[in-house]
Amino acid sequence: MRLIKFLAVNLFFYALLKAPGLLAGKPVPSSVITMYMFFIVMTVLLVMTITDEGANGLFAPIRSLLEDPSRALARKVLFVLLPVAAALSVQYLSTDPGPPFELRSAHPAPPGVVRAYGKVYELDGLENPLRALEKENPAAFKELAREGGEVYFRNCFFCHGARLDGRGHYAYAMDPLPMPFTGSDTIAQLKESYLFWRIVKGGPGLPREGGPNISSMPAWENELTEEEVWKVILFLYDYTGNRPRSWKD
Amino acid sequence: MTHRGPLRCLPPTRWLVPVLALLASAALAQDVLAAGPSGYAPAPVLSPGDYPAIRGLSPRLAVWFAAQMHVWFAAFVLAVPIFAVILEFVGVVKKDARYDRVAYEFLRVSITAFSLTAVTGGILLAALIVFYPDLMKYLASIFGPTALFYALFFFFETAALYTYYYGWKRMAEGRLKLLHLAVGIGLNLSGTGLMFVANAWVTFMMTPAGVDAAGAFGGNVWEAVNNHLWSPMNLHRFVANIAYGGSIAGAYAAYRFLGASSEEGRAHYDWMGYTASLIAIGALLPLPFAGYWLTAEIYSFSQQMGITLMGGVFAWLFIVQAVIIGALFLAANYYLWCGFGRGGYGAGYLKYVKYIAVVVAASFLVWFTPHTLILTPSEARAIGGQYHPYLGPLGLMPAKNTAVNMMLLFTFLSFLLYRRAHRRPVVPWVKYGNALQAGLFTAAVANISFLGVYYGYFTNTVYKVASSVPQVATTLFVIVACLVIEWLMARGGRSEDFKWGRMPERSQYALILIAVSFTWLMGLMGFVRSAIRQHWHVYSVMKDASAEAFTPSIAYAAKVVSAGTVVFLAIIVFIFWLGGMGQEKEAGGDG
Amino acid sequence: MGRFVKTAAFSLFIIGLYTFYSVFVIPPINPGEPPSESAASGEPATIVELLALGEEVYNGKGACALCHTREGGRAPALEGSALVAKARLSSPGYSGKAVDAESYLYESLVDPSAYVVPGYGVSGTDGGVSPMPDVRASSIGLSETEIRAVIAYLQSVSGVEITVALPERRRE
Repeated sequence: MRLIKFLAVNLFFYALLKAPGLLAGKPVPSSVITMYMFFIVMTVLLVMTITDEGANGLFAPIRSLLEDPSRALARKVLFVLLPVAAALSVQYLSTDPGPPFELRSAHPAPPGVVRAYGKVYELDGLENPLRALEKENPAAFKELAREGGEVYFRNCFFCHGARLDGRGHYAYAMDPLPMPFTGSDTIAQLKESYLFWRIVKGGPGLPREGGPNISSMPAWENELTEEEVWKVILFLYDYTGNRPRSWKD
Repeated sequence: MTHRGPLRCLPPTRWLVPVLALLASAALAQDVLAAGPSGYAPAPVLSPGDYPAIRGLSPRLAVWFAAQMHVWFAAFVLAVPIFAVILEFVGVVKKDARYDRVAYEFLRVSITAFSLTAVTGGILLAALIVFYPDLMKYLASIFGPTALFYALFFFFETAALYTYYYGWKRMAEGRLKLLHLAVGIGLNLSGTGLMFVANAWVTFMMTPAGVDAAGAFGGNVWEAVNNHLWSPMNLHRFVANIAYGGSIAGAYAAYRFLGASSEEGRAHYDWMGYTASLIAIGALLPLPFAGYWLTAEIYSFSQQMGITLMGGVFAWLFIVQAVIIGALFLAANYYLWCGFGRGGYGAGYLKYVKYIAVVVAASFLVWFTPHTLILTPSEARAIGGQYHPYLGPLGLMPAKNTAVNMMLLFTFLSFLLYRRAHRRPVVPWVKYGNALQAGLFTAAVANISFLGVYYGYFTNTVYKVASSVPQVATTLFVIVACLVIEWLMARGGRSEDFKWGRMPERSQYALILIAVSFTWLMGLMGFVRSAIRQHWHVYSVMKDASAEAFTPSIAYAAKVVSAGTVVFLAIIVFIFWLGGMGQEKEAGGDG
Repeated sequence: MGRFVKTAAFSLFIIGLYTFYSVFVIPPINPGEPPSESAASGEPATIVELLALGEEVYNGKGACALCHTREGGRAPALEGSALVAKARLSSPGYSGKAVDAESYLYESLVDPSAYVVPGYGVSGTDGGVSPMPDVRASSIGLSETEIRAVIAYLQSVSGVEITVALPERRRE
């Protein structure tokens, strides 16, 4: 009975750790689950073996399985199953090693200055020059965002997708997946100057701290003009309904 | 003199080694003093050819191993007298002969370790002189005069030790007992002084002082001794030695408990194990603060060195440390929980254990959650980056500070319930007292969580670290307040004696785990202390030009430390076995 | 002897667990090789070589990037340092001897306390002492050429004209 309780308690905590992955799509990393579970199992074992009665209750079923003459059949089945299970798990672990672990930052810190288009941009305090029109001339602003959309669909949508969800035609050929712009945890967290840097300099411009540099994003400074870049940034925010972070907050 | 037992076959080592060491250090001092103060040259610039090589032997590994062995033995033999004097003193004050008996027994079984400390020290010195002659010449040119102090302290320590040990039975009564205590204190003072001198050499290599940028000595030895890390290192090592001695004594008692055949023997070793581990855990608690001072001094000497220590390459080493300290806490709690069975009322408190366990384990998990998670690419894809929305905040300092305070608070709760296991307060305001304690605990938990969550995550960076001070203050306040209430409530209460020996055998493994973990952790932290010098013999002054100047990885260090731990513990077990042989004759065998 | 075997096995198991965790579970990070002395063996002949040396020293031997991170925090960010140098010279708090941006950077490297950026001083000195070491001191030990190269690199990342002269031309 206590053995079942022991397993149930551990299963409960395992389910708790698995829940974010299954329900919210944000899995707890397997490396963390392994460590957590190791110590959870240890703690539950300790708590359940404080008294002698507790310890005996926990281990009695195992002892009887190994020693009780009346359970010889169950014992034989177990002794066949154990090596099979061990073999299967070894095979499982050795056939699919998967790609190696990596330590990579998705939004690495930007540099202080960016040199492009023959100019030097200090990213600190850099604003989108077209953003002011949003209040001054909403009609012209809409037109600029629409033009930004044209730039987007001529250049970006192949990877970042028609719905700006990062799932374009080529998206699944890449690892990491292209960044989605929808949702509240990508561009909504960033300033426009950050996007400017990422578009203009692309994957090659990522700093070393970004870990293994495997972003496939091209550096667009040779393909797009400065104005086109600012316009496409307008489009990204306008279309997804996100607001860029400003330098004030 | 029957209690000397098999030691009688060892006298040559016992006397020869100290005398030889004394002569050697005196010669060294003479050598240097003769050179005079005029000969202070800059630190030599070395090339790989300056390091003698022996085929198939790694000089660094040899020195590392010898140094590690020496430090373990030294920590142990410095701790044993501290431990013995504390117990003897308590025994005199409480007029309880048990303390005296335990103190003497522990000193007796450890006496061989003193010679081994000198032997490993000699091996270390020889290895250093053979493999790093230029470094040793440079250090000797600065620290030559201190060798004289070292020799003096060594002489006094040896003399005090043998007076203390052999005089134990003869100086057992009246004034002589007090004199004996004084000799014990003198033994500790000279031992501690010995360590302080050696610490000066070590800390000079990390944070050199008294020399100019090129390493030329200014002539003031005190300046070189009193460098940035000397005082914090002295404190840290002193406190850690007490904890270490306690843990080894606990493991010794646990081992004897497991083998005790009589009820009386079990009771004796159970009590010894409890007392020793209480001292160990008590000394462990202030250790983080001493460590904090040490780290702060490292930062103030060289920011570069500080960042090397806490960030970058060694960041994961502190995750390993967190795992081990968490394991120590779990083991200590388990030992206390098992101890509920010693008292008559303990069974009633068992139902609370699982809640304490949940809090302690949860705090532990938070504590070692790394800041940078290890992700498979598919997991990184699903999360959309390295930052996990739920685990990310747990990797930061505020969460860890909160977790540590919770862990301390609930370990203390285990201790409180353990004390309650054998006494039932009867003062008329028991209900209010209990309510007050419960209220204090609830308020402390609420305050610590609030400080951690609010100041840690919802205000700007400046307050993040600052919130740890009120958190610690809250924990300490509640611990002291609860102890005072407990003391007031216990007056006149019904209490029955603990039934020593009524412990499951399982609980004794907790004590063994504490000792093994301490040993391993000392090795690991010793590695990082030395490793942050990186490719320097004397940081920023004398470069290591040997082929093994590179900093080893944590994995490599862990293997070396593990090998060292196994060898060291095997020798300690052998020493105890030697010491135990005499006792079996004497006590008629409870071992 | 049963208890000896049991406790020994238990201790070995604990040591084994710690070793396993340190060797296989935490990510294997190998500390870098010690910086080689020969970084400045060949004098850079072109601006490109000078910049390459500067970048190498900045990230390697000089250990500049250890504190001067992009986020700032421990030390001022240096991406625009050559740009702000001019403004620094005319600021009222400045008391050093530099006359132009290049000499300001040189002074900051060899005498960091000549001007401490507000907020980055050693605590307790009211901003009077910089925590940065003299880069010629032996814990870093940059040569004159390496210092020049770092200045050229800083000017390059700041996007201003590189005024540092190549070693040959300086000697003339």
